[in-house]
Formats: sequence, C-alpha cells, structure tokens
Amino acid sequence: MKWKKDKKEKLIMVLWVLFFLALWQVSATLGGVSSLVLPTLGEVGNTLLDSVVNGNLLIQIYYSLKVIVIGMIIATVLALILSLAAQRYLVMAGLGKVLALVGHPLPALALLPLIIVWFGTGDASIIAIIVHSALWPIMINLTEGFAAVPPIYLEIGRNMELSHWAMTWEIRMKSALGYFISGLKIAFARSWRALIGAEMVFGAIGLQGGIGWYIFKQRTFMNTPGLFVGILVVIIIGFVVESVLFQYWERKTIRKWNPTV
Amino acid sequence: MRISLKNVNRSFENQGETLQVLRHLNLEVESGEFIAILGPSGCGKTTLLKVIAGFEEGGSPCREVFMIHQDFNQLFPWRTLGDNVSYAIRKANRGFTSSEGEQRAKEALLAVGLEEFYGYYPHQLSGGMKQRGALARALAMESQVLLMDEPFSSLDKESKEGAIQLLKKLWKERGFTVVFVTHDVEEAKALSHKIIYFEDINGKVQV
Repeated sequence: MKWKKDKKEKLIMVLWVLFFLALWQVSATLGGVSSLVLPTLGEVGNTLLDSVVNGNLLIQIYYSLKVIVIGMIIATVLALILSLAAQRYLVMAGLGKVLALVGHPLPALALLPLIIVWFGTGDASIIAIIVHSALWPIMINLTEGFAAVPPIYLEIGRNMELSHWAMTWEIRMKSALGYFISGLKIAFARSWRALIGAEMVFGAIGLQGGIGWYIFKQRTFMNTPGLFVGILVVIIIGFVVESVLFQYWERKTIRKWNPTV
Repeated sequence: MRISLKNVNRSFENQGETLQVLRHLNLEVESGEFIAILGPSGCGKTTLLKVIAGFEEGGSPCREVFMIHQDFNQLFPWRTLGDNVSYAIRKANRGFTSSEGEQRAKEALLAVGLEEFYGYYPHQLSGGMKQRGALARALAMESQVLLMDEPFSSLDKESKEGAIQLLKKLWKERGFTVVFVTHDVEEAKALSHKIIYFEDINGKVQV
C-alpha cells in the first residue's frame, strides 16, 4: 500500500513539474514577455547545448563537484574525529559543543572576507568554505547518533569482547548511520549553496571556475537563457545528490534494516 | 564453568536516595548446573546477572559468560540473522574465514530451528525467533555460561513453551551452565530442577 502511495505521489510530482514547464513555455511565447526577462524552453535548451558543446559547462560542473567532494571528505573526517573524541573524553565533548555553538549558526558567506585574507582566492578558500558549511551539521548529527546508540548493543559488544575499533565501526557507526546520512544531507545542501554563492563572489577559481562563475558570467553578458541554464544545472545536481544518491544509500542500509524509519 | 559470588553489595543513587539492591549476596553455581532464580520484578535480578557477566564496575565481560537479555532487540539490526551469528563466530575465532563462519552459523541456526531464516533481518522475525537467534549466537561462540534475563517473559504462551523446551534440550545435549532469572513461578518450574528464591541469597542465607 505504502509503495503504491509513493508511486502515486511521484507521478503527481512529475505532473506538477510538467505543468510548470508548460506554464513557463506558454508565458514566454504568448505572454508578450521579452525573452530577456523570460526565455522560451527552446532558447534555454539551445543555450544548454551550446554551453556543453562549445563552452566549458561540463568542466565547470566537474570543478564544482570536485571541490565539494574534497570539502565534504575533509569535513566528514574532522567530524568523525571530533564526535568520536567527544564520546570518549569529556574535555573533547565540551570542545565539540563550543565549536558547534560558534560555527553552526555562522553563514559561510559571512566568513568569506576573512577566508580570503587567510587562504587567498584559490581552491583552498572555496574548500575552506565547504568544510565550514559541512562540518557542523555532520558533527552535530554524529554526536547525537553516538549518544543514541542503544546501550544493549554496546553491552553485547563488550560481552563479545569486541576491540575498541570493532565497537566503533560495528556498533557505534552502524547504529548511528541514519544520523550520519541526515547530517551529510544537510551538509551537502549547505555546502552546495555556499559554493555557488562563493563562486559568484570570488569569480573564476582555477582555469574555468565552477557553476557559480558560469551564472555570474551569464549575468554580465545579460544572457538570460544562460542564467536559466545555470539555475537548472544547480537544481538538477542538488536533486540528483539529495534525492537519488542519498536515498539510494538509505534504501540499501537504514531502510532495509528498519523499514519504519 | 563454576560461578562463585561472595558477599556482593550493589547500590544505586536514585533521586538523592541510596537504594541497596544487592546486600551481602552469596551465590554458588556448579559447572553444568541449570538454576532458576525467582524473584519479583525490580528486586535486583538483572543487577545480579550483570555482576556475574562483569558489566558492573570493576568487572570485565567475556564471551565465555554470555548474557541473553530480556529485550527482543539484541541482534544487531544491520546484519541478517545468519550474519549476526557468523559475525560473533568470526570474532570468537580469529582467523576464521567468512565461509567457515557461515557454515558454523548455519549449524547454530539449525540447532535452534531457524536455518530457513539465515538471510532474514531481525525486524522480519518474531520476538520468539529473535530470542532463539540470540541463543544461537551465544552457543555458536561456545559460551560456557548463559545468563538469561527473563528472555521469554514477553512471548506468547506457545512460543514460550517452545523456547523453554529448546533451551532444556540444548542444555542437556551440551552441558553449559545456565543462570535463568524470572518472576514467573511456572516458567522456573518448567525449566529447572533447582530454583533459588532471590530473597534467600540476597542479604539472608548462604546457599
């Protein structure tokens, strides 16, 4: 029954997307709106094709994804170290709380000028921004997840004489996996926004820059179809990562272990 | 494996008050013996088992003395039933390959009548099956002493009877030591020839 409801809901969502696309097309063609304000779907499609074939859009997408992956890996490693240490040592638990209290509410863009002073305007700055955006949600979620590990699993692990490493990997990490994935989802959403924003402020970093820089360039040349292409690419990548990649991971793990999640 | 406790005391702080749960407790259980400890809920039976298992302060738990909890959710939910057992076997026998672990896990599940459920996740099993799975895991690790904390108390009558018969059969075949705590007189009678009243070992007479 649930499966059927999910399918229906997905179909309804697709229909809504088609409805908005149709509305867009009708408004752009019949609404007497200038194509500088609202280009047609065809114009946007052509610009997308042109940016892919003749421009550097694919390289820019690759660049944005590369820096976000590097930043999120660094943030995940740091979050794991901090939250595991917080489990073990009270002094580290205090440190984790202070860092999260200070860092979590601080928007990455507010740190941008300082980061430029510290790291310059190269890749390091963008990665620092992504690490800042991703670290806190992952760390907070992991810390909560570790605290919520059912004591019975830890007792059984001790009874099985599991090593410290096995207790961490087999029991704490797997038990807290749902929290970890939630943290990563929030971290990705925050990092993705910060990355696009930072690229639009920084301008091109590396040889071609990323998607944020692509959008910025389209604005400079008043290329409205290009602006829409940039926005669509940002939406599609965000959708693929959040709704396809993370959901696939959840289906293969926590939902399989406990379908009521 | 023999169990010997002498003059054990345990107390807890509860809302500023000290609650003495174990008071000069003495207990002797011979190797291969099956004893049932009977007492009302909340009298300290679980604490006693935790002391024996080494979970309490100063103790060090080992897989030879394994505790089977009252909670149905003691199998790791991220592993299938067979994988739970096979993982425990591999941890108890360093150097075992996955296929050796799997083979031994199948034998262990066969002994508790769950061989068909090897690939099932715990959430797909009934309460009784989970408890039998936990028993299989303990036996697969070749634990010498089973500390059973009312493991069948929440089962329906039929599952409970089945589990009791199974435990008795396995005990007779393998000769491990069992300390089974319960608040259910009928369960204690059905399981064990030797029933100890908790109040008799806690703060009163020496057994």
